[in-house]
Amino acid sequence: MTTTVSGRLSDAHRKQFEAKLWQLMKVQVRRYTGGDSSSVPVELAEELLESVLFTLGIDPKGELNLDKLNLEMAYEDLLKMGQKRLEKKLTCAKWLWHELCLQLSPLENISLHDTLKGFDGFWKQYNASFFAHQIPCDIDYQLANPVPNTRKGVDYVIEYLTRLTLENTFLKAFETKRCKQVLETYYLDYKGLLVNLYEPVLYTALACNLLGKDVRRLSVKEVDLTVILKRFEGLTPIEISNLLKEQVLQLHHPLHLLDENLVKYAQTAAESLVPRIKEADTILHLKGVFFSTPCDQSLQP
Amino acid sequence: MHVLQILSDTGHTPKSLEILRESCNQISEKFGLSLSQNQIENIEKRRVQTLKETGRIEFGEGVIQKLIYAFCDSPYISASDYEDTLIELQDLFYHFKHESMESLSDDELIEAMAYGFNHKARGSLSYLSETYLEHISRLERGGFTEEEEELCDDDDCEW
Repeated sequence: MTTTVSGRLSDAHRKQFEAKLWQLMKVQVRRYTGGDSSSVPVELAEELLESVLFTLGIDPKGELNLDKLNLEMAYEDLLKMGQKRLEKKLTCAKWLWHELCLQLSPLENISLHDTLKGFDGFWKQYNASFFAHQIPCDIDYQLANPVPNTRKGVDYVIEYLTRLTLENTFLKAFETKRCKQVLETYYLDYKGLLVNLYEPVLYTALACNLLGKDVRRLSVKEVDLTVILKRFEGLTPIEISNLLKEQVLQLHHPLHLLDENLVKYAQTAAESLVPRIKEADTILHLKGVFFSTPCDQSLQP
Repeated sequence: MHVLQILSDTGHTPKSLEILRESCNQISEKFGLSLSQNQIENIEKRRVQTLKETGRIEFGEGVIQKLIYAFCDSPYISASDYEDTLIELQDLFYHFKHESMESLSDDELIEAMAYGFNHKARGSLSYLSETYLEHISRLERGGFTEEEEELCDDDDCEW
């Protein structure tokens, strides 16, 4: 493990920090082993230490300063406070998950289903006392904007569920049948593959808005791609990015999605299109970015 | 600075070693055994080294006091080989702590070592290490078949 600490601490403060941490680790190891072992494997000690640092809110790879280190307080007290905070976060995470499961879009996807089901195990296995930084469950369903790996433990789970809720809220703003049609266009088997459901619907809505069409219909014809290509012709990457941001903001209005978190999330997701749009100098290339949806008479208003 | 540097055990301070030495000698002196400051420092240096070699880290005071308590009345330890024997026993302790996959507590392992040393090995550290403790570790790792376990000497489990 190659964690590093950087920060402008005096030698005396650094030694004080190390001594306090050592003492705290002594207590933690004794608790973990039930007093049965005075020594533990280094790998276990590393995990216990990472958990301690996470609980104390100390990022071993980040800049340290005296405020963060709280050298005046007893670290055991800080650890207890940290653990209480984590328990509250766990309750919050569970609530988020519960609400999401109740409000889930009817669109089916095995990895989404399995991931949500898998959180059952997380609530039971999450160990805030000794392994607070770990995420004891499989999170397979990929978000449009993945949670950074720097988030640990319950913090990661909260952020993941928050983002997934945003995606779900967006998907539910459309008729399920229209979403299905888009997904069937983008993916061979959207139900069985490890794919993200939100991106194709967002991109299709974006295409509709670029064309001045009703975004709720999620309808893009083959001929529309020429119009879209012209919209981006000659634009620099920054101009493409700004245009996409503006379009994403606009498309949320007819969907009555006013939460700025939804808009920001979608703008971040759309940002990934910039290099692909920039490279798309033909309709053929643009087809890899925006897909024309087949004309389904049953979905006509 | 590496945060994990705080996990590298640099050993006891001279003052704490002095206290440890006095505490250890209080137990062993009645059996004609005692450690000088130089000897306890050697044992401590070896402890730090062995922990590194076995990939372990120790946050407590070490097990030397417990080892002395368990072995000081052994008929197979004399004043002339006291330091060397303790170093070897300490080495074996950390090695077999690892080999038994943490399934034995410190006290259980020390008890097994003392029993093995005094009864099975009759003072032979190599027999203790290569035969008796290997056997115990294998039992703990579940390395024997049911038939092999039945053939094992019941005395091995006496400790």
